[in-house]
Amino acid sequence: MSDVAIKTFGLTKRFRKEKIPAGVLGRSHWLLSLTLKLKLRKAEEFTAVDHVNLEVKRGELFGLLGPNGAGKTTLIKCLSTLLIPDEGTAIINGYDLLEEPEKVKRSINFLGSGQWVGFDWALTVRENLEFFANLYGLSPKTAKERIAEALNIVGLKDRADEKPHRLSAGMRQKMLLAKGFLIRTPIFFMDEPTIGLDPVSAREIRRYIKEKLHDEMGETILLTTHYMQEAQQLCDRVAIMDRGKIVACGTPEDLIRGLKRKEILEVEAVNIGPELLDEVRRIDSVENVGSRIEDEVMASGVIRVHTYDVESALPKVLQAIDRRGGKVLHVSISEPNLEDVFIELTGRGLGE
Amino acid sequence: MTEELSLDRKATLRAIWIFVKRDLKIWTYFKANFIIDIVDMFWELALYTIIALVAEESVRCSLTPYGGDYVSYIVLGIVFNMILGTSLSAAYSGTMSAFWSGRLELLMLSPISTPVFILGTSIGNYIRTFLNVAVYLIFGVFIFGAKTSATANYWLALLYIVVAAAACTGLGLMAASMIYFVDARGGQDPIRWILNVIVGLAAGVYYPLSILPEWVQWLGSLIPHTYALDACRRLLLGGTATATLPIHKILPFNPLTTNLLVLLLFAVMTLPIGWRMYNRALKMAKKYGRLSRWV
Repeated sequence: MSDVAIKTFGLTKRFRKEKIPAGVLGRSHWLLSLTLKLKLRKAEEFTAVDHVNLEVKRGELFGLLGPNGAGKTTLIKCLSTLLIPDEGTAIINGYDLLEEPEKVKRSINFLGSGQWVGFDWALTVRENLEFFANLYGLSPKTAKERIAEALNIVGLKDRADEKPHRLSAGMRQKMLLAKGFLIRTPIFFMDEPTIGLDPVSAREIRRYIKEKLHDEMGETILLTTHYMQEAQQLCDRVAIMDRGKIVACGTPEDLIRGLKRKEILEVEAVNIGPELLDEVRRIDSVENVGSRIEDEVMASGVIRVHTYDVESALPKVLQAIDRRGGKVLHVSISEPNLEDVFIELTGRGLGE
Repeated sequence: MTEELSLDRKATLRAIWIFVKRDLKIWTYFKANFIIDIVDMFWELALYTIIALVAEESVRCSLTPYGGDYVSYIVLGIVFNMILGTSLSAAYSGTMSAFWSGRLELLMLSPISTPVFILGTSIGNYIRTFLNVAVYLIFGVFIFGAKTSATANYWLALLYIVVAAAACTGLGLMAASMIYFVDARGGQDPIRWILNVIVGLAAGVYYPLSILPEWVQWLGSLIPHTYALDACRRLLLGGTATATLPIHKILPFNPLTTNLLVLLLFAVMTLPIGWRMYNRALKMAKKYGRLSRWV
């Protein structure tokens, strides 16, 4: 058996840009939908995944890091047979994605994100999990054991007999995770597994993924995330994705080691906006700027400034924040991380 | 230890059963619906019985091949049409329900095959339909006086309804494929819409076809329902072997044989075409990212 679990060859996926909201198109009468569709035939296309070449080794925990809309989910949906690529192909667990999709399906587990996806409101959490355990061919005994284990891992043991609509958004994400933990296939695709979880739960889930699924069971895991820390903490190797393309790939350490700047000016501030970032970018000694908004309401977050002259750049950055009505909360010189790799490659932050 | 997923025969049966169990659970979730459904059935039958009593004289002649009793004619028409309607709608409603609940992607990822998915989502609908049929028959026989003939051949009638259900399943698969071919995700599709128009008008559910102009009778000849209803009524209500459908006057067989041959032809044609269309539609959905509401 090859030591490569996933290998893609120029994988490309394009979509039509639909100007009519999906809800209008989907829920309308078929005659209206057809008319609208015919009008949309000439709609322009955009490339969600652009000639991606990727290799994931067996037993590797591989991260796809990129901002929202980078094409991460589309890529793993292609790899998991939910989307048919427009160009290229992939070999998954030794099977050709286009020629042997049924065999690919039997080799993979897919954990999507979205708290309400696929669960029945009339069934309890446990019954919903039983439903999927049966579809995946688990025997009643194994299903019972795995459901108990999965509920325990995600911390829903006490809520197992409640209906999903009685759970909070974070708990529904946990329910989705529990579904994903029921089966043990050689390859596991995880799409933003910790999105919507509180920090404690997210840490527990990361630990389970790393220690149980990866270290103990040796599963090959391809995980998408836009959380830089998650990719850095968990992954053996990371591919950074932007606008459908892989812009860098390697171990987090190698990617960070390859950066031009070894010291990053980090400014925590309130009222960060695009105008402010543009102004900072125009400062002489500044090479790249990225930001991460942590509080949407206050527009507060962190600006990371890549500069070859921190002493000269710092006062100018602070002045720019002041001029734009912002407020500086904290300034530090920090070590570079994966987000800085993204900033250096794309000229913007993961959260922009 | 990791392993590839597989479904043996036992696991496949369990997968089908879990669909049924889930459907029944959802069905019984709103208890009040049960009572309203039953009252509704009683009311519908009462209405048709009144119409039957008023109109019986004017259609008496046309009822001769079916034993002559209009109430029995209507009760059988309603129940058989319900069964065929379920066959027609099962694939569409199963696919649509999975689509809107976001479950379709998860089902497509599981090792269950498409036939198991269709079967699983259909059986629950059939159970519900058969329970409704039982209630209709109880009301029809014990309250409104519907009766079968002393020479009724139930097994042969069952054969006709099974073949017709297979033909309708094929048409239902074609209807379900319209979800992606013409974006018919709004609860209605062109194929079922056209079929339902013809069923209501020219299949002979509520009145004998012979009272209609000949071109409308030919319209009814285009769908399997007409042949199944004609055959089942002849078999269960007694009557004469008179030709009632336009095709009976063309083919040199007795009406029952003609009906069976036409139904078999429908089934042999619609099932493979419907199957192919449905699979192509799913492929198209994967191509254009339409398996779920979100790409």
